[in-house]
Amino acid sequence: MIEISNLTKCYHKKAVVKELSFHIKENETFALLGSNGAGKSTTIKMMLGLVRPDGGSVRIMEGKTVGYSPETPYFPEFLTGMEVLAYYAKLQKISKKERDKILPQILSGVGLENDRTKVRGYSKGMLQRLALGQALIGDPDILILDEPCAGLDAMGRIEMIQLIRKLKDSGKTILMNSHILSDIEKVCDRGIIMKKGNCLKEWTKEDLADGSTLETLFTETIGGMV
Amino acid sequence: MTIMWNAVRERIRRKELYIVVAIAVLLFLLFGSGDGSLTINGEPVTGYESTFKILLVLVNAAGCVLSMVISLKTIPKEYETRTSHLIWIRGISQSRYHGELVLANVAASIFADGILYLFLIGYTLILGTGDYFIRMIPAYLIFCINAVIVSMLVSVVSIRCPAWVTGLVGTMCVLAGIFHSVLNLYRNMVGGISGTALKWLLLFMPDLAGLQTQASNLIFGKEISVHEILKGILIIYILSIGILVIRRREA
Repeated sequence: MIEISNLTKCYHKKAVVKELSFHIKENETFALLGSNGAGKSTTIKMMLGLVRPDGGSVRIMEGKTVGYSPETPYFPEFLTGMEVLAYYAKLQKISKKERDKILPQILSGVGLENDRTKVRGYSKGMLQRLALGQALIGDPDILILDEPCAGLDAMGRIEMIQLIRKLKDSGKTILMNSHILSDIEKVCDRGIIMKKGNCLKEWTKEDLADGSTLETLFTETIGGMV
Repeated sequence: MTIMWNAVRERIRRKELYIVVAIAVLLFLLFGSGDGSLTINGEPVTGYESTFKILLVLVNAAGCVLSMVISLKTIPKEYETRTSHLIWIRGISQSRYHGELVLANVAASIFADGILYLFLIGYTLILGTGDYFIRMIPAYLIFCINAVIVSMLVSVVSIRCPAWVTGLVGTMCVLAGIFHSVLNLYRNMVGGISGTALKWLLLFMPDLAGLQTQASNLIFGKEISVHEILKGILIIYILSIGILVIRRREA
């Protein structure tokens, strides 16, 4: 579904992503793991065409559409959640009839009320859910979620993970990036562990079958204290 | 035009526009009653026409400064907040994205300029004559070219440059534009490097005072210089090309 080959990015002559290669299969939930500065967000941005790679390539299967939920979503504060979705749907040239049909479904799907609450009154969790909502417009085949649980409290995290699991069950291919290993463990099938722009290890659910946790695997790979 | 309308709605909510309304109301309260007076170099400026021309200069200066302030951060803010990410991934071209944001800036600037101009219309209704009032409406089309130029220039520069560079270019444009004729006079008096530098500066800076004079000439039934207006329109055209050509490497 997605093929990343020798992806490289340098800033001020310093490589932040070094010849990174991996692939994501259809209907798979894939995780990019790593500490701060590992190059996860830069990799995502290169995959989305927001940052130009200095080398390598990103290939997405022809005809497949991508939805993206950013780490720190910003939406105009004077709009309601529904108006935000309508704005992005209009940009995607979705007809009014179609918008009227699908947007209420998306909004309730991400657990938001279709009421007059403006974005300025939204909590961090509600903003993250709205960000996920806008990513779902047009029913994309692939979802790229950059730190979907960042800044959320325990309840917010639980709800977000439930949402992601629901999307996974509906057949979406998901790439996500998170610091919270327990969340990743709950929903992801496979992933890579990155450090300073390099892929140190590729892991699968089978690696965790013997009772070991992703946390142990991560610290062993990165070389931190257990 | 989805991006533009959204950006206009955002601009209208900003405090700059309330400052414009406050300035317009203040000017109206000062001069609308006819009790206000202007003194230049100790000499009182009397009569509707003389006072109007001075007020037109003030409104032009305030309008240009406001256009700069309104337009300064629109595009950089889109990239700072990463709103641009959600636009780029939807396959919207940079020229359309930036173009609609510039149009939003221009619309907000014309709106702000119009509020200030309404004060002049009010002033004319009270102290001027019907003829002047009727001619003020087409004159606004000439007058607002200044706001459009400043807004577009600042917006185009802000696509690639940091805020301080954009602010500097905008300030230079407003100052050199408003004092264009004074600087031109000064250039003729000085020679050497200063004269040459001033010559080049004035060559690239729009003559905002010239356009304001044409608007004033139209209101008072004097001959207008079409050349000045065409120059203004040409600058707008060149800046429009800038929107299409200047691009960001990354979102």
